[in-house]
Amino acid sequence: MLRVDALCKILPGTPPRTLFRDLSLQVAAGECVAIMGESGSGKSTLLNCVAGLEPVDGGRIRVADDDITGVDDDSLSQLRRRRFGFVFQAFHVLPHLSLRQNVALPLWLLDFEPREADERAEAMLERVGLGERAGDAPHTLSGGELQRVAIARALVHRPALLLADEPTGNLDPGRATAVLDLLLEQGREAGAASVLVTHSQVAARRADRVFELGTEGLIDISGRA
Amino acid sequence: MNSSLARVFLSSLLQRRLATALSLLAIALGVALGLAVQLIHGAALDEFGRGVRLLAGEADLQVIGPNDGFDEALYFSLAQRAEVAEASPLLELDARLPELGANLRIIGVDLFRVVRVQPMLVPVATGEGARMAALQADSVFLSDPAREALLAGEDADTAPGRAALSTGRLVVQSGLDLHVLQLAGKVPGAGQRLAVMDIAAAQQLFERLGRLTRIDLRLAAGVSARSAMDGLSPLLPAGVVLRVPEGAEAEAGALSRAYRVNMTMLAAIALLTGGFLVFSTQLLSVARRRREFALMRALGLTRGELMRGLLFEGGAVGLIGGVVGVALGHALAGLAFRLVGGDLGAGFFQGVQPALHFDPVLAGGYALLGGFAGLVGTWLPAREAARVAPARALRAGDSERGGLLRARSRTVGALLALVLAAALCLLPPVAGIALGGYLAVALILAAAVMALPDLSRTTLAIVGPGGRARSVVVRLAHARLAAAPGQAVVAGAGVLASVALASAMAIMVSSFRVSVDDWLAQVLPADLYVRASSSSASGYLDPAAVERIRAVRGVASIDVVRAIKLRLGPEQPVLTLLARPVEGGWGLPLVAGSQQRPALPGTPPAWISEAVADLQGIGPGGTLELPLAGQSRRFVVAGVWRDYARQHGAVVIEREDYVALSGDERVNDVAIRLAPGHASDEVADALRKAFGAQRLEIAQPGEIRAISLEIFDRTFLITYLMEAVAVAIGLFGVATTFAALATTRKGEFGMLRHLGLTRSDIGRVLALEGALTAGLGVLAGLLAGGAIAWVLIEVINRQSFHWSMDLSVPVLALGVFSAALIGLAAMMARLAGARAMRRSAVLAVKEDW
Repeated sequence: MLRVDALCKILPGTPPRTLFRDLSLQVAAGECVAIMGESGSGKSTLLNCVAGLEPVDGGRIRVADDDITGVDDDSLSQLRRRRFGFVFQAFHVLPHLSLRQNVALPLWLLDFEPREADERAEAMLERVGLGERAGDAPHTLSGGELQRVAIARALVHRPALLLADEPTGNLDPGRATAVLDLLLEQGREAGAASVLVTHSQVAARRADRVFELGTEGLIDISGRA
Repeated sequence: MNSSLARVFLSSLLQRRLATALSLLAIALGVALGLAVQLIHGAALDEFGRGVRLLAGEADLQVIGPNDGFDEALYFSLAQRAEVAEASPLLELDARLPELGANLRIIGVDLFRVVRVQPMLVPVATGEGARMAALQADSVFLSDPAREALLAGEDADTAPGRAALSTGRLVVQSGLDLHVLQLAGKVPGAGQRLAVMDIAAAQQLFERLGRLTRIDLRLAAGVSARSAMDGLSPLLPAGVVLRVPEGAEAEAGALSRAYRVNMTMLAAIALLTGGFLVFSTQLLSVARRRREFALMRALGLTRGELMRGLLFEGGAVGLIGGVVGVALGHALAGLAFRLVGGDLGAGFFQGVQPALHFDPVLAGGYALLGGFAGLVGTWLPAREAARVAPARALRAGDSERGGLLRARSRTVGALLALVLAAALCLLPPVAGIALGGYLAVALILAAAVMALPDLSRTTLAIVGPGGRARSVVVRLAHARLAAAPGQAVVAGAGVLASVALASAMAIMVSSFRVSVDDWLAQVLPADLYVRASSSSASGYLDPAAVERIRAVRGVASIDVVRAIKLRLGPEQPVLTLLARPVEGGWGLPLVAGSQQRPALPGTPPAWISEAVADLQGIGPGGTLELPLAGQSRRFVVAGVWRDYARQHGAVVIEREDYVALSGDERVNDVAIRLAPGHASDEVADALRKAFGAQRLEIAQPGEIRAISLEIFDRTFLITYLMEAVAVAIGLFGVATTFAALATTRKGEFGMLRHLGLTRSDIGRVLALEGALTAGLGVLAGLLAGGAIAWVLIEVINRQSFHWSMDLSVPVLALGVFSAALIGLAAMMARLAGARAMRRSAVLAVKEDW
């Protein structure tokens, strides 16, 4: 589902710093891959490159059948709204929308009928255990609940690729486990290829494969993690 | 954009209700003021035009002359021409009604002609002997509006006059004589304040035998107005012109146009300030919603969609503000009609009773203008939002760092704008409107806003000790402004615009008032002024009366003035000719030339007002043709003088030249110098005793000055109101900016509380930041205001009204105003931040959004 070949990213500056080069990765539908590494190693940047939010300095990225390198900004936006789902460390749930509306946001971008969008958003909230609170405002929720809303929003439009950047970084260990289980379960159920960036060994262990990011690319550490 | 996405943007407006409401209100006020000015003048002009059309009736052409009239022989020669089917002669006068303390427009008509040309002026007799009443010499017919207006007064002095009027008796003054007329009926067709009587009787009564002021012509079938004008013009004596009846309407429009444009520009500046407010609230909202937009972009929203969404927000606020403004504008116009009349107190349309009409196109246009202001205000912030790199904005720890809040230096742009403004000031007016001047004002404002970041940096560097102050409050406020000069731009732009407008108007009005006051002292040097009537037509003093005044005990010497109104051509506005002793007489407020008679034998001198110099394009040494007694006479311009009383120009000539050329020895005004040891009250009493109490108007210079300044202040009342609105809008700007900033800084405040600052410490930081920001806005506003005042005085007023004035800066008033504004801004900033400070410090630092 995701195929990255010989990716290269150099950060500008004097002198320029090579974040990674010759990086390759393949993730199949329904598979979850975790990427670990030290702070500043470029994990989030890799995720942003895959999402087409940051330019790359070489290599190719294909999502499903679409090549996202060398595509203009508007086409990338179109691609993201169809193929991608995101979960962030800081939740990023819009404060002025209800939970239902937050989850329906990707469907609105895909021009779904408002009623259908609402129904699908409610069904998704039901699956993450927040069905009863669809009409509530975000400020009434705890951190774990907010991340569940974010997961529902990431998957409501059945994306091909789910990108999660430290999804449990702001949660206590108990909640983190529950949220992670939900994320992986829902991702697999939706048949999405998932890429999870994390510091947490516990989180990484739940992935199908685990990589460590270094300047020379990704090293498979599945056995050691 | 689909409706669901539109909802995302609109719901954000509801989220920040206060800022949205204030932006909306600001735009509504700008739109309302502009529309009210337009509605009021439009209605007054419509009503005036309707009156002109009604009175002209079926006339195709009008022959008009000076208010002194022209020979009626012209009527007989025109009536016989083949081009003319019907001709109706008229004698129009403003007659003094001494018992009622008022003037009335009396139209003398030929009853047999008026029926065929101006049916609206046909009098209808009531009561006994009605059939022949119209032909009797002492019969007068009063229109209903005139009767209502004359009976409306409550003054005790005029009570006997009103009682006489209700029993059918009207006393009019001619020269110094009083005549009693009988009210014989009505003029049902006339909607204006006027009276109609037989033309022969009017000529007799007002001593205008053989004189007419107007002839209305109905042309023969198949003759066009153009060809008739070509054929008939050669028959006209000098000073008499032919025009289509609509000409009067156009003339009234032109007369008040400069004033109207000035008012509309003031409203436009209020709207501009509203636009600034939308700009600052949108900019802050963009800074605050940085991550929201980054998320939307990550979810697949394109840059274009994001920009359109934000423009939609701004446009919606603007449009709703526009609709509210249209409603408010109608309410304001209605109120203004009731309180100050159709000319906003400026005196252009006296006697006209306009009614307010709803014009859907005009209302729609103004509502759209509000939407446009919202769009323009949102443009830069929206562009900034669309440029945000989503990956960076989504990173945890990335705080509000809106590009515009970083405020790039734009000093070069500011300098370019100023150079362009200076160049625009050199342009001549376009159709009587100082277009270059208005554009220069806009450019000066833009330059001041552009220079604000650098001004902020420089000022903070100069008041540098703030950064090293012992007080943590001062250090924090100083550091914040130094680190985010853009904050000063965003919050200060509204203050700047409103202070610039208010100070420019204050300097202009003060300069104008001081100049008018000086001018009054110069043109009113005598101890006592006497005239037979405030209108120069029906009241006058003949040589015998002048001699009687000279002989009154206590009078040392007198100067006399004859005033008549005349036209230099069909397209030219009415000009006032003043015949008085100049050489050796009292001073003229000259701005060029001298009071000496130039050595040009055979060509008498004339002193022209600045308006005549501008409109005719002549100066000292040039020549001027004036129509006197039906003949064109050449004068040489000896000097140019300042005249604030007659916007369309006045010409002064020596009285002896006037008498020699016209044979008219009557005078309108007499200026009296008292002999030593005599009081003005004593001489005034002696004059009243000699001539009769109601026949002379006697005034002391102090009274005339007080009345003149009162009229001046009334005229500028509306501009003070507009200034107040602009300043209120500027303060809204400070409030919304600080409310929005405080919300984005909840984390910062929480952290400061963790470090040990009290709530009131943070309140003081905010108040100080508010004061510093407003201070910078006020400083830049005063600089811009000074420049704008110069443009108003030297370019806009010169080109619109042809008035020069001496600069006078009301330093104390501006100082108090600035200090009050800075104090209010500090208070607003503190109040606006209070809500953010109420939140728990623990929650504030944990909160992500």
